[in-house]
Amino acid sequence: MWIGILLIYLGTHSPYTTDVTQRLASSSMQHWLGTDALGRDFLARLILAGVISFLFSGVTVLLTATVGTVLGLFAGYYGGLLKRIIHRIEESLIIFPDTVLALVLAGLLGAGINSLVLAILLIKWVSYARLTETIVSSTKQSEYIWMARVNGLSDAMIVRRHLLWTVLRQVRVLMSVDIGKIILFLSAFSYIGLGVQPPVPEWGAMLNEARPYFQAAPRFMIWPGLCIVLTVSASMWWNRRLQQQTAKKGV
Amino acid sequence: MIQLHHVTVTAPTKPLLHAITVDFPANQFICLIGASGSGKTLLLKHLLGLVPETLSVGGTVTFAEGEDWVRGREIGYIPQHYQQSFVPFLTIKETMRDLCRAHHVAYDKEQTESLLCSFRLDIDLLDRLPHQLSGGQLQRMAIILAVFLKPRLILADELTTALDPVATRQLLDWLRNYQQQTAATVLFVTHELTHALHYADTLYIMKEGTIIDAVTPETIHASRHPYTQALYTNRHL
Repeated sequence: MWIGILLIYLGTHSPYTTDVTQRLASSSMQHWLGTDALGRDFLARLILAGVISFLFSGVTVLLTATVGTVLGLFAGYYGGLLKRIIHRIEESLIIFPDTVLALVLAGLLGAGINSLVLAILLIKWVSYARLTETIVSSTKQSEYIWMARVNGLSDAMIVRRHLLWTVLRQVRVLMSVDIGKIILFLSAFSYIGLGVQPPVPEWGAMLNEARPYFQAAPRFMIWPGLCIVLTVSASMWWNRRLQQQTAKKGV
Repeated sequence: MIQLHHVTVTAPTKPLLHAITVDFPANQFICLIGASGSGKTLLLKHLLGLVPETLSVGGTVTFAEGEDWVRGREIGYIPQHYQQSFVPFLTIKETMRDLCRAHHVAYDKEQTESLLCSFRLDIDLLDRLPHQLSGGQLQRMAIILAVFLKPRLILADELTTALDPVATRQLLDWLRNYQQQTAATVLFVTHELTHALHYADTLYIMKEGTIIDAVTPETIHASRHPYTQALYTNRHL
């Protein structure tokens, strides 16, 4: 219901329309959370920033998980060169913290959301590939996989029907934590100007825009900050729930 | 029917099966008997073409008239550790349907029900996950899965190891009847000579990775091989 109300609000209030006569206006019936320094509706921008953050994070996680899982399935099932390559890449990536590496890549690829998606994809696919490869390598030794071979099931069928299910149960746990992490990434990168570019709203970028008004209108910092904290906490809570579920049911 | 010619399976340090040359006859209940570690299960794996990659394989295996028999369709396998052989997150019916899909065969509901009926198993069990079935039900399901597509060769590995005498009798009676009705060939691996003598048409004795003797229940007492004689003499111990 709340999401519905917020979306209706977004539909009726443009996050881009400026009105200099309404600069830094306080909360009112017309502008529930007031307006920003350019007179734009603050709540509308906050909502759109949330939609963008979720879309960006969702698409990036989905893309990363797909690439990593597919490569991990091949590497785990067939082993060989691909498995060795994944291990070497993972070892070399461990040396650098994710954020530093993303910063370098995003800097090299240029500012913007597409560059950030690509940078995160390049860094994160390997953790999905490694997770999948480890699960597949151990699961393929199971008696039931051997039995599937005995029963004449093709490799494609074994991977699709038997291994993918086991892998996806673990991958979704990793995805749930990455949703929050990537929202945090996006906010951090937008804050320093490497993520979402103006005038498109984003929580990190909004924090940056609010810096000059920190004392006069602290709400411009509090609301986006609160949104980031709550979203990341929700992602962590969801992750814990999934972990508990997975542990309860076993793989 | 199944001809093995100079079959060898070798581990990096020692031979596991060596120089097995044998012709298993068709439409028979054949028992492969031998002590633990004699290579019985490995021979079955070799017939299935699933010897681990770490072992090297030599010799030839020829099925009837040089046909290329397909695992799961022409060759059915009843595993020793049947509890772990089921996909834990698929129902029995889903596993059966996968088997049909793999071999491009339509799922035969009536045949499945008749097989379940012959084992006095409830049809509802098909919609359950493996962990929702008892050990005995799972074992019978493992047999149903092995014979489900009417294979010409059924390989059964130490089927009765964990069973009480009554259940053993029921299971072997069923398998023997099934073999006679369908004229399939059953290759039954066991270390129980009494079972072999009761059910087998032919017994092949394995020792230290090779087949050392081939006898029938009627001729075993006259075997000259000392190991066969020892097995026969000590069969009731």
